[in-house]
Amino acid sequence: MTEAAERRLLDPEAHVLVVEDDGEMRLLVARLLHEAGFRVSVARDGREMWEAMESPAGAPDLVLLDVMLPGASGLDLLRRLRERGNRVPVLMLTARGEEMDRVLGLELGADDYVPKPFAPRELVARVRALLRRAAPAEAVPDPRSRRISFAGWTLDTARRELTAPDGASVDLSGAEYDLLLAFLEHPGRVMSREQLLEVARRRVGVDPFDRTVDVQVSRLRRKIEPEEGSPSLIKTVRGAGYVFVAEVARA
Amino acid sequence: MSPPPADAALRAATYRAPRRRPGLRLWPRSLAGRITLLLLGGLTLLHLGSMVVHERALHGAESGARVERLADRVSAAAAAVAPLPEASRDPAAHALSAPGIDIHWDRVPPLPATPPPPALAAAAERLGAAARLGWDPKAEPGHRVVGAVPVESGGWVVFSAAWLGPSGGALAPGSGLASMVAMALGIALASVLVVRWITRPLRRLADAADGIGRDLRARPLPEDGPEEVRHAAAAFNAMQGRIRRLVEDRTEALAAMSHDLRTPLSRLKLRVGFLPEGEDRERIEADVAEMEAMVGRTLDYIREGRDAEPARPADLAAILQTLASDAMDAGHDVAYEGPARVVGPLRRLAAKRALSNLVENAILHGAPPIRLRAREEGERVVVEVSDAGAGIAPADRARALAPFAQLDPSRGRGGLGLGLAIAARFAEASGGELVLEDAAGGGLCARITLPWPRRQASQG
Repeated sequence: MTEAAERRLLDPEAHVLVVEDDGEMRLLVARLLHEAGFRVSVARDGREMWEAMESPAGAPDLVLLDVMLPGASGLDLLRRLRERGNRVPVLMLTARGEEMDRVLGLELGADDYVPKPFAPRELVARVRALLRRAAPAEAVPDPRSRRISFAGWTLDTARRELTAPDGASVDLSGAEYDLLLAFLEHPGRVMSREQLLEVARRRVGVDPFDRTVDVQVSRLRRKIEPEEGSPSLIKTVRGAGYVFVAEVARA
Repeated sequence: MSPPPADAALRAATYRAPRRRPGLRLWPRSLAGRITLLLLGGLTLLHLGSMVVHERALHGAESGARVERLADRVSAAAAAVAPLPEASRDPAAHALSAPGIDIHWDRVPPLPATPPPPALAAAAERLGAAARLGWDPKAEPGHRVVGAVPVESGGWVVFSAAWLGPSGGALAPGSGLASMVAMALGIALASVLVVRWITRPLRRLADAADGIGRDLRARPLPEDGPEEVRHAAAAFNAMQGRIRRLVEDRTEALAAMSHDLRTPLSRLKLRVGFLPEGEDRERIEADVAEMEAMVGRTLDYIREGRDAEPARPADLAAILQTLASDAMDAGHDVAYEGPARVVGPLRRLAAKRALSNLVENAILHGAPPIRLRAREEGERVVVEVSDAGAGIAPADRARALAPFAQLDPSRGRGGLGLGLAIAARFAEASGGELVLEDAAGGGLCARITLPWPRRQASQG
């Protein structure tokens, strides 16, 4: 674990920079994150963003970036940020639900994408999840390599699309996608219910019980092991949890 | 055998009634038919007329020639016979007979000196004032005209011939028929060409007008053919363009408005989160969610018309399972019943939007349990979303599918009335259809049927 990552993990007050041109929206998001326990800075356009990035107060641990900004658009800022070698986690906000925006953003180097209008709880959960991801375990999956393959299946993380070995596109719910990604990021590792729970909780609004994880795993299995003869990709480990047994490769 | 008078009157009355048909059946309804009939009729008349004129002239000429020949022959016979002795005059005259005219010599003429009948006047003139000419109806055919010409040395050259008038059928009957047939064929050919030049572009115009209701972006009509047709096609294309632009403008306005609503909705949603927990906050959140859904559905509806997503192989069962899972997690009784995999060409996101709308519809307006089914039937796939609610009466079903139509007159139950319209539009755009039926459990069953060509499972 890198020193910066360690620091982030231990410091309860992660620093989030909110870049949003709509004044009221900016204040509301800042208030939301503040009440969730983060240290918040705001910027209304690209210029203020660069200032904040270089401020002596400390670079942000995460940038919340609105795609539609006056002047340089959010996507342009993102591109320039990445071109400078800055790897700060970026969460995109946009009012347009168009898939192209999301794919483009993820290709340009954003780490996640939240369409407006969003539920406040969801935004906080995503920010937390992103921060946790940026505090890496051993192998940090390069966010830019968008395709992950396993046992003939391919998961496109930019489009959030799963393709079966025969080429058919298999739809996944939000929870199933997150669960699958969690497995793919830790192949061969036995994951406890709690670990998987944390992943599932981000999506399922109700208070999760242990059963929820089992339900989600069985739902996921129904999709990636649909038939009798399908190879077993997720194995149950009695008393410990589940393990993803297929080989995982990044494209 | 005549029926009693009362009956006859009745019968006459009833018999007359069927005659009052609207229009004659002989007059064809199609332009092609009418043109063909007119051409056929007109040209037939023209042909007959010209044949008649032609024949008259021909006969006139021919009979004139015949009369001349007869007169010459008779005069020649008279001249030839004159120097001969009486005994050999008759045989000599007879030797000068020809087919159609029989010549003899006699001392007395067979006819009195009466003026010749008018029909033979021309012949009489040729033969000379002293000639005698008349009919003998009692003679055998071929010898009905009888006449005599005086011989200088005494006696008469007597002849009998066939009727010297025009006869029917100067042209062989066979040739008349052949010319009629040739003419009919010519007319048929002409009709075919006329039909193609005029009625085909017209039919194209009608089809295009019909098709514009289904797809405003249909290709414009080719502007070719006769000038009037070209003009009509150009006017039609201009109209199509205007209608399309009008619809696009309205759609743009609707999309912009819905889209712009998202920003204040986001702010509301955030701000509501700061309110103290309680009934007020819950109600506001519910209202915001409802507005969000309306905006989302409107944009879904608009996108269905202009989506450029390509159809790729996708698992329909997975989509239905996702929808069922999400609904169940939100607390509704929704389940998928069907095969674990149903793979075929699909616009996955559009299908998910459409089916999601059907599920939401069932949740909002129907009643649990809600079941999602899929099954493959030959070259088609059938997807059903059924609930156990009140259903929709058959009389209301067509209206229910129309966009922005709500069956509940107070329009207060939530939603915009777009759910079914989105699904219907999706089905049609994919080459299938959406029908509403009674579910087995008494509620509504929304059934989408899509073309589902099979492919090998191992293609990648």
